[in-house]
Amino acid sequence: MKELIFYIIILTLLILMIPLYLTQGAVDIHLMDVMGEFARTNSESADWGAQIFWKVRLPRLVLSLVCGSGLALAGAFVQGIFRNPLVEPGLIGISSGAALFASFAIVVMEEWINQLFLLQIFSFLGALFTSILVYFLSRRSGKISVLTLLLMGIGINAGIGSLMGLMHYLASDSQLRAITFWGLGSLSGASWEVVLVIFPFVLLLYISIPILAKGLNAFLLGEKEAFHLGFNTERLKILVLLIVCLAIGAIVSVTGIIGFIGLVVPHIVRIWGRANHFFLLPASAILGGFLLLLSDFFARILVTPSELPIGILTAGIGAPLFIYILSRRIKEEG
Amino acid sequence: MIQASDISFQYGKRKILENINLNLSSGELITLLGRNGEGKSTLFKILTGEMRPDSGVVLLKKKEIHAMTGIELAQNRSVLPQESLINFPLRVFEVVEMGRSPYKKNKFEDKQHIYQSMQLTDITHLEYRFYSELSGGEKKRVQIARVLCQLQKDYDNDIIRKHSTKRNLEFNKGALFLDEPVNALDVLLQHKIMKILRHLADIGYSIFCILHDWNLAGLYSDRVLVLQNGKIHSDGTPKEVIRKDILEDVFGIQANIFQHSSARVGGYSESISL
Repeated sequence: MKELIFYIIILTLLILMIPLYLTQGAVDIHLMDVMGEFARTNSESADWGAQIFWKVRLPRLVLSLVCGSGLALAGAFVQGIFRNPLVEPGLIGISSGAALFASFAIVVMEEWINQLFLLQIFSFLGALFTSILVYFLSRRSGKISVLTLLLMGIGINAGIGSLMGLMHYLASDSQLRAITFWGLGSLSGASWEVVLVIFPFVLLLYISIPILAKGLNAFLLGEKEAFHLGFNTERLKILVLLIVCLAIGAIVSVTGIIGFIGLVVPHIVRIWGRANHFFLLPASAILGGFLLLLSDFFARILVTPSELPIGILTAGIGAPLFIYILSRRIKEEG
Repeated sequence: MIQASDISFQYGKRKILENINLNLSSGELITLLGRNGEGKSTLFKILTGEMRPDSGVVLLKKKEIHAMTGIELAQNRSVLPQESLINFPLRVFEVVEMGRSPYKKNKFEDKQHIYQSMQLTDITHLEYRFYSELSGGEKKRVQIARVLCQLQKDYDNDIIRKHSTKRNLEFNKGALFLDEPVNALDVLLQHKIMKILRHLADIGYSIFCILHDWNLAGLYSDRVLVLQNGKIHSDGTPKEVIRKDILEDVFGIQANIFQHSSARVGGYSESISL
């Protein structure tokens, strides 16, 4: 019952948000112009509006829903595996690896940066490279210890931090600005091609929901407990890491680093009182999509005709919320 | 139910277990005693299939446990580790429900099993409470309900009704392994938990638990095993094992042993005072 109410609230908000998102922005579009394409009024502005609608706004809407749900789902998966509500995919080095490779591309290969999705390919490789590195460093006799994985992630993140510093040092002023912007995230690269490239990776996460939810529920009791309940815990960990790395790698390569969605969304769902993954995972996906859409809406309209990097908004909303949740927890635990 | 033969295990050159043989029959409650660091936990992990012995085999229902699939193993033996920390908001019935994960989902049957396990461990009144809000004794009972729920088969209902008073050996109900189920609980709760386990053994479950309290072991178990230096020091009924000379040998302490006044029927309980 509680679950149903949650779905109804979020889906209603989402449906209300969509027309607002599509019409407002640097150029206001009247939905009538778009819909009325067949009975065209022949006015130039209507044609212009339709162009923006189909080629810019709509793919961007889809992209923010796909990325938001992907980020939130990845967060929920990782928190389940680590059995810790304060973990996000970035902790195992995925995002920082992507950031390092992306800045490398920006600094060293500036001339080719806009060709052939070079930046995107590099950051995707960076995400994969670091997560594979962290994974193999945490492996002992065929098993991965979740705690070691976390600690290795911290170590790798620190190492990458220093290399990032080097990139900053080597970068020219304009390159530095590009790196910073990339690190704050943006959905402005949206196009149908980009959506098509990312979607299969995020689809992996969607498909895994019914397959992995039962095992992740058992993981809530403990890794050992999950094993004794008959689950193949090693396979579960590897599968989760794999799909999360692929999805986050793909998302980050297009949008840059968008923080806090993966951390905060599953948290909000849990506050609703259900930790059961059969609810947590789909609910996180929907809420994540909605929150990123909302953030991107404000990112676009707050400083028109320019736009804010979306990371500023997600962290700006996410951080206070996170602190509030933490302090409430501390209060509860006395 | 469980047969372990010639179990040996070593870490590097240090021998942890040497040629352990033991048998756990249906409806039997065995307690494993011994000092810390004598290999109790290792033996426990080997018997539950968590670790492989260097040599020797463990049979569960006459089948080698490492040849079984995870699901098959989970349907026949359940394990309660020493401590269970849950960081997420789960309600009591959700925790108990996890015990159904090795089985195909069947809403009606599952509900019965969950309810029955909660009844046997006396936690039905806690059903909708959050696990994290419970006291230590309540948490333990919830966990026991969960591992119990994991062993319930669909034919159980009739059997429990018909044979709840006397022990019924021909029904292979599965084995429960518990690692120190009463640690950190007050005396009353310790007895409450042990009484639940005793009852479960009486209705046909095989129970293997690690304890540190010789009094409880004497009062509630059918057989007591004492482990020392990775070998079985003694194995027998409480009367045979809880003896002055054995306590002195294992712990190096002088103990007086008194017969307990409320020994259970057919029991052989001892009480130790130092």
